[in-house]
Amino acid sequence: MALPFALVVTLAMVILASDMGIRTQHLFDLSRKSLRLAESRSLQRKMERILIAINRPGIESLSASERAFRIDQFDVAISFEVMESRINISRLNDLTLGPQIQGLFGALLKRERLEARALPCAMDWVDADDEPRQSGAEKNDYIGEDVAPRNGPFEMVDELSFVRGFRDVSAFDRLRPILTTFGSGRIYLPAAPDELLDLFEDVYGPAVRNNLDDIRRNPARTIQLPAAVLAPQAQQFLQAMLLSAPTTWLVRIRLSAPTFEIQSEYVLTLTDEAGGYNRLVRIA
Amino acid sequence: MNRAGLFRPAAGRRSTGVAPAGFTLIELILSVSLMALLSALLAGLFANCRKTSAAADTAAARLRTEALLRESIQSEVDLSYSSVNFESADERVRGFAIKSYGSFGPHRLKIYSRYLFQPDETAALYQLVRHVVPEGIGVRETKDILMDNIGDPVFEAYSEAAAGFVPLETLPVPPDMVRVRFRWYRNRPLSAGDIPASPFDEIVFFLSNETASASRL
Repeated sequence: MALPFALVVTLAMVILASDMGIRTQHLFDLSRKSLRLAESRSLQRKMERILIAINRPGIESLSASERAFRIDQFDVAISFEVMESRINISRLNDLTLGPQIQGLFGALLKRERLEARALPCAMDWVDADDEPRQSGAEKNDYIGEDVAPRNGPFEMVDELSFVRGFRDVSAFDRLRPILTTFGSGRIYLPAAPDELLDLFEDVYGPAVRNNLDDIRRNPARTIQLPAAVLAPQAQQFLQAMLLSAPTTWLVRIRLSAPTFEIQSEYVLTLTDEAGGYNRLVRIA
Repeated sequence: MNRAGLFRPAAGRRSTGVAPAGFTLIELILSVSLMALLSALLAGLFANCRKTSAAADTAAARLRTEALLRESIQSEVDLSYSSVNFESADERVRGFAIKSYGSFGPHRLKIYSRYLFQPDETAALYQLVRHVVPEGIGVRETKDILMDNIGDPVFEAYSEAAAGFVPLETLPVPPDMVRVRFRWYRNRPLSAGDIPASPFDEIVFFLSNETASASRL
């Protein structure tokens, strides 16, 4: 009789001890995570200060490929992506770049088979008036949806998903990687993806695409499109759209340690003035 | 049967050479009382362990809530692109608002979030409520109750003249650094009279009234 009793007591003690062990481990992990979080913040601050003061050669050397290094107990990975390789939808209404961006954006919407009203609705969203254009949508069309057009430039890409014609989630997810709301609105060709060149082809024809592709392959070449390819006005239009050196980057910083990982994203806008500080905005 | 035991053979009777089977009454009584004593001790130990474990669970849950609150506010301050604004009710500062790049449901947008200490239905305690609305596009705001059972929320700032912390509303201009201090009761007090005597944790966090150093430059 004593043996089963001893067994039961031992088993209960083992269960209790392991349960307490798990709880203690959990509390320990929680406190260690808080400590890592506090340490990572000071490291982030240091990296922000470096980014604010960095110059163009520094960015060019860092942005060649993703860099990974170790600082204290953290593995740090930093990567740069040129924002001027995307269509800047915050410039849809821009006086100089607006028509070109509308052309490329319209071609993208057509390629991704969004509704025909998507572009007019997006234009109505950003223009200052409340008068809808043909097949567009203004304030009155959003009544009952708890949404109203901004009547100003898009501030984040996700805002586009509130606009009529962009409600198809999977189509919107396909658009997202090629859109931005940061940067000058012009395109830096050496960083442009094939998808963007496809859009140039849709708007300006295959000959322009080939020329742009050449420029992309040889970044050192001066951006000059041959006169025979386009009408002078269209060429001027396109020339205004191209950028010889990028000015805005998306910077991703990942800090990881055992049981801990934190990722932050910044938009870095370079100031070429001597002694000037870059503009750095943390977006995630 | 004799007095020596229930099952033991009587003295003087010839032994059969086989060992007697079973226990005597004394042995049984002793073992049962020992078992009862041990069980009582162990039951006390178990009950104590369960209480300790439940207390540890509650403490961990409260720590987690507090850590999440700090993390949520800190991350919004980090992502902010304007300074922290303070909101008053009944001539007392009762909340603050931050404009930041943040999450609104599944979207990443520029958002306007307000953290307010709102009196609950008893009006003796407060709830910390977070209201969020995306900037400029008129989407209906969301409302989350972050903490219940809060008492005496105070916004303070260091005053050199007073050589200590003073309520924010007594200062003419909000300073760069503000201390938010409140009591977080472990259980909801049964009546307003019980509030001061109820156990609580003191929560203190600091709000920097500067935008992130990066965007400031």
